[in-house]
Amino acid sequence: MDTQRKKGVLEICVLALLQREPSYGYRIVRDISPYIEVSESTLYPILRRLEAGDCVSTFSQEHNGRLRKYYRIEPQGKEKVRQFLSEAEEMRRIYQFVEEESK
Amino acid sequence: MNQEEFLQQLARELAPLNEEERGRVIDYYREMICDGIENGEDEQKMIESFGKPYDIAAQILAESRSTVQAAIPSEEENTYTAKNPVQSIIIDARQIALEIRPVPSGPVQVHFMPAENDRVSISEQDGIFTFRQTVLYAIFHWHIFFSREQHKIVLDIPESFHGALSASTSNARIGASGLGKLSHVRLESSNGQISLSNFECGTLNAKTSNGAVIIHNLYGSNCTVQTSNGRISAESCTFPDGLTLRTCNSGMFVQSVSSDQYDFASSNGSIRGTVFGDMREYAVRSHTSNGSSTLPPELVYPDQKKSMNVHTSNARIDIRFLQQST
Repeated sequence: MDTQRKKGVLEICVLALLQREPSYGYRIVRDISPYIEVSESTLYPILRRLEAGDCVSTFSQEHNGRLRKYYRIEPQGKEKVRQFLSEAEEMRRIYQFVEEESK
Repeated sequence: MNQEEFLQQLARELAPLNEEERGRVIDYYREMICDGIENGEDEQKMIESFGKPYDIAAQILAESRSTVQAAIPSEEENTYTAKNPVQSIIIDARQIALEIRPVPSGPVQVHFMPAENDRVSISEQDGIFTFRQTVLYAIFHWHIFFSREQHKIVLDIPESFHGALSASTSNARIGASGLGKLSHVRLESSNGQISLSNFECGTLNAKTSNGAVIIHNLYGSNCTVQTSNGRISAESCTFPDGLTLRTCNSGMFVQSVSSDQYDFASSNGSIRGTVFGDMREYAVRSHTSNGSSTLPPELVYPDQKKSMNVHTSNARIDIRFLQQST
């Protein structure tokens, strides 16, 4: 997958995950990595961009005597996920077309 | 690399960012490491998996919309002053001489008059004061090369400062004298001389190439000096845990130095001088080719905790032990 596209897809994966409940960096990497290759260092710019774009907000919670930063999905982030899903049907048709024509 | 080293290096690479943005990145990685360790991960392996600080920073800097911020000179012009307590000082410069000098009191300060193509950024984070000067485009013009000799960065360190200092530049000299007591000192240049005198530090690392290294009247636990094509001169220096001097294609001279672990190496250059100690206590190994030596090739007895290793080629070794007068 080319990098630009992967970044976009990763953003959606992070947002999708946060729909269930707020989460923190370490857990996000662990929860997503079975599905798409992601490292701590690729995640940071994505979280930063989502935060800057008001797709997620952050809050800190104490854990073991230190503060842990949690990310919570915002309406704008939910909208992004909806948009992605609405395009899914169209994408499926395109994939099917490409597959058929490649036989 | 351990956690602190990693975070320090990362902070350094992120110097062009403003303090808040840099803090976010550092907090992020610190939290990652803490969570990883709590989950039984190996600190070292985890840090390795992050990638090199340089690469991480490059990615973040590419993403960040904030452009390189020219630091705002504070108080008087061309003086950059630390506003918070400082534990570590990092100077990262190019093509410019560094002078490090003591001041009786006051904050850590850098005096520097930027030239047209210099960019400067300073940051303070977790007690680390970073001053970074970069040259937008390198001009290799003899006239400028020589005029830049006058052009230098001066770092003022108050006597009350006992932290770490790391300074690097290129194609220019580094000088430090009369500082108080520092913990770790790391100085690096290339094609420039390093001369250090009259201070105390835990560990000292000085590295250059094509330039001499002169150390005089220094105290600490461990000292490593490295150059190539430049001579090394060490006088009245005491580093019990180790005194390591390395060069090649140039000579080395030591006088009245003291250590339990001497390690001198050159090639095509002589190694001579006097060291303090009782030779019988040292496991001695020496080698040269095409030259005479005052030391035995190997004279080692069991239970000797002290050692002396001297190696060169095509030149002589003339090292003599002196009993230290008390």
